[in-house]
Amino acid sequence: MDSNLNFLFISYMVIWVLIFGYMFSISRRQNSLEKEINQIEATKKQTF
Amino acid sequence: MKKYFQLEKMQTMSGYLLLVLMSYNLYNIFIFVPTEKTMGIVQRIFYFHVPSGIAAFLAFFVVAGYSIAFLKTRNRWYDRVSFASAELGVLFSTGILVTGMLWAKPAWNTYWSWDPRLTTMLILWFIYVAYMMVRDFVGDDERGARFAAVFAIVGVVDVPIVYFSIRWWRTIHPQPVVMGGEGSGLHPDMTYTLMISMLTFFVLYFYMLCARLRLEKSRERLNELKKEAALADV
Repeated sequence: MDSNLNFLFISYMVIWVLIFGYMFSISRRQNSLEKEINQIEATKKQTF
Repeated sequence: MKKYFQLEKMQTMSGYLLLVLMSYNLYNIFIFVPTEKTMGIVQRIFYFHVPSGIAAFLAFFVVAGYSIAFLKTRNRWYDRVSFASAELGVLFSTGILVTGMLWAKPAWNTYWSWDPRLTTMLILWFIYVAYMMVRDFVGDDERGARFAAVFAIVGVVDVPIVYFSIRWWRTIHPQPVVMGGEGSGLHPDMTYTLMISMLTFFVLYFYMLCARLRLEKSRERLNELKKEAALADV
């Protein structure tokens, strides 16, 4: 029974790690893109 | 830009719905639903295992549908939706494969068996990992995107094979418990919990797809800005 509880626990952990890991990776990529967009827009404003 | 804010709004709304559903789902799985008599507590993996698989199938059908739309219209946005959905399909497939292995150990005394259901599911996972690699490799090339779209449409043929594998071949994998015919079926509370969990995973898929598409929108905007900057330099 106890060892089976471990399998249940690990399974749910895997699902949570996959979901949060993926969302974290998306937010990191989004932040880096937004940073780059803001930099280019700022340069554009300075130039014109 | 308008599309970006629409996506942001849809993501926020689905995020709130997801929060409610996820909490209710966890309550159902760990408190409400009765423990299965033969397998005991480990059977509760079922409520994340099956919805992960169904969400993966949905994601792959979206990939194929948008790939067909892309080939017909040559609209690059459709190609981007396909790529985003493929990423989610692989994520959910990884979930079903790993939770399946963890469930198999106490149930079959082994983590893996070359059973038709497991093997076809692993093939499906490889097909879409390969699709993502192709898609990543070709970048913004139009011909490469068309090739990847054809690959995605051919790949989706494996989805019904995975689904029907337990009916077509001899397998140690359990027979379907929902719409499985005579002798199959679940306790009504278990069916209810499974349905809520499936709904939760569909909303989760939609939420993550919105987040992933916002990323694509930002990438599109960055490319436009870079082009404008390059033209200004000329």
